[in-house]
Amino acid sequence: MSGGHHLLPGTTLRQRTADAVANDRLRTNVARAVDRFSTHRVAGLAELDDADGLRRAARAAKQQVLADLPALLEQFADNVLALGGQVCWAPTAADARRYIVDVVARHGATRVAKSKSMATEEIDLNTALEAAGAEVTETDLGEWIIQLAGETPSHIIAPALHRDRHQIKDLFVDTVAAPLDLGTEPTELVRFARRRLRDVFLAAEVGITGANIAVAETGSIVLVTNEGNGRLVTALPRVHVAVLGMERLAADWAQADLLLALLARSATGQRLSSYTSVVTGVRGETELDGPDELHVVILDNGRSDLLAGEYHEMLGCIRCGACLNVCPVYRQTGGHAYGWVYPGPMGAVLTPLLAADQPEAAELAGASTLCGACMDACPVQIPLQDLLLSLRRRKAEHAGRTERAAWKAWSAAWSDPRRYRASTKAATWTRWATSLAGRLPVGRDWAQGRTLPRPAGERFRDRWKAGL
Amino acid sequence: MTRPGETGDRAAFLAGARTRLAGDIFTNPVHVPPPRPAPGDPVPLPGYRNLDPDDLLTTFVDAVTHAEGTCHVVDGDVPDDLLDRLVEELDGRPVVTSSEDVARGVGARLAQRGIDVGEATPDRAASAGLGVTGATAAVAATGSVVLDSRAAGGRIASLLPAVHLCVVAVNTLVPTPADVLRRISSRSDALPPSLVFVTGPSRTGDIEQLLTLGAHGPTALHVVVVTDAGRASSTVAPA
Repeated sequence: MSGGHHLLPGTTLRQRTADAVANDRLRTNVARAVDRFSTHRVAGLAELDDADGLRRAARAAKQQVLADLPALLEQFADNVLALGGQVCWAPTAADARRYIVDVVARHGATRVAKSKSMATEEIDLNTALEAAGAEVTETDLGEWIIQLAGETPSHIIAPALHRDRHQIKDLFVDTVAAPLDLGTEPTELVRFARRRLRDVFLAAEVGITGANIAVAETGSIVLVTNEGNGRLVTALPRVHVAVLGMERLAADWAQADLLLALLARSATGQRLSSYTSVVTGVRGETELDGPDELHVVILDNGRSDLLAGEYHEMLGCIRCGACLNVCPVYRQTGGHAYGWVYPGPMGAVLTPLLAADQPEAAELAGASTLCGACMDACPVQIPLQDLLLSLRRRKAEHAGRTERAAWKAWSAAWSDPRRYRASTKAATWTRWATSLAGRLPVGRDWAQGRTLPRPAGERFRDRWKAGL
Repeated sequence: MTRPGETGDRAAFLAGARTRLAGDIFTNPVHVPPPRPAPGDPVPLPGYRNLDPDDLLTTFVDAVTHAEGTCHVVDGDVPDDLLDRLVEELDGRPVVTSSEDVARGVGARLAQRGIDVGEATPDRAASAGLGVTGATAAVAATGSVVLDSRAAGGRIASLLPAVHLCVVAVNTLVPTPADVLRRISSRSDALPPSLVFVTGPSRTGDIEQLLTLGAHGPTALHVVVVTDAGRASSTVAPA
């Protein structure tokens, strides 16, 4: 995998987790947000007849799409081309970045407006565009906030949920010269952002979006937003670039209808988000606005490798964020502890798979209690806890020789009654544990942050012999 | 291999996926998935518990309100008192309309009140206090109005002004999103470049997950359902 992957440099999962858990303000902000999301999700889904049946049907539909993915992608691409759009097949993040930088350069564009897109976060597009001299502005309010703060998203649909109103006001004052007397009421902060970003929309030459769903039968892209930034970015700039993860297809509008019935309810509890836009081709002759050029970048970046295999159901993810909101680990740490762009249970599965070249990524499978709340909340019933468990097994199989040898020795010792008795003698036990934790390099990592149980002074076995 | 408009090698891009799919597809043994449907198998229709199939209009009005919009059900035409109220809120700002007859009709009535009314160019729309549009459909279960960029002559009349007034005929009211989305497959004409389900005004929850209206789009949405569709567009001369 080339580029676009950088787990926070110079930190470890353990450090990031410890920092997050020690930050009371962060934990308060995260808990408040996920509780609101979860309450709304339950109420939203309760309005559907047999929501669980629909989730099962959505899982089945996604299985069908994935089994037929190459043909559906060809159908989708042919339709985009027939509508006058352009298609880039991007096997890697670097291919996608290069193509988009070229499009921007070809138009001599210096101002780029983006609506929220996890795929562009994944390929670290902004850095590449800025290096090429373009000014890139995130227009989703949450994304703009974290762009100003120089952070990655801490939640896939509410990127700035780790910050409260006071922190956001201070950020506006520090980074974009907001007046010192700007109020901290959300309405005032939103009005300030609206005024600033309005100019960005009107001036941008290129608009960049992701794609919630791509519909093969008509070559359409569905964009779901609440703020209206997805619509503005595809209405005002002359060029629209959509970055599409290759798995985000629906074969037809019946499947898209099913997914849309579940998506907004699972994300925010809304029946539909404020704006569910279906974009099909470029501006029509009778239209006063809309892009003259449409570029769809179809991104693989490690996804093909997952097809048909043990982890393929992860490609059914519709990025609603429900699994983050119910996860007891995410609740305590927020998203940054996960170290890359995808947090929570879906991130703990996706990151080791898509950023496999990062040795530390495999650690994320451990960032779970395996309680299964994630699968219960998932609108497409991805068996997240099974995938996490499987990733742990895979990691154990790839563990270092010393660690495997240590566990083998332990297994051999405790399989034999005499050796077991010997090992449970308190003195022996302590020495054994200390030796494991202290001497082996792997053991030191393992022991860090773990408290070894203190052995009892006298074994039960000995007390029993002595007549208790 | 590469066609006009195409960049990158399509066949090479898809080769990896084709190879992997040529073998068996893994089946999760713990939480076993439902049987994989064949292409063309029916996809279950979502059922909406807030939908009263015998009273779509009441369901629609409730759903618009639920989405923080305001719904007016009128007989014949947009009422004068609503227009008067909207004019008051304009505070001197201009009005833009989409190019549908029904929107231009409302525009003409506003112009008679001395308001600056015009088509929705970006600069005009950005400074406008009100944008007036029609809609090709209204969806009862979700309280959505469906805007068609081909019919409207663009996208931003409903988006940049501070307030959006949408006039929709009652005979375009359908029960659920499926009645619009699933009919796309059998459309004889091509989809418009932009088809949008508008469900309430623009909003954000990005600050403490508290609902704040008017993020980038309109702060308020007025939906006028005209129960006698004929008169709304024929009694008023287009602007």
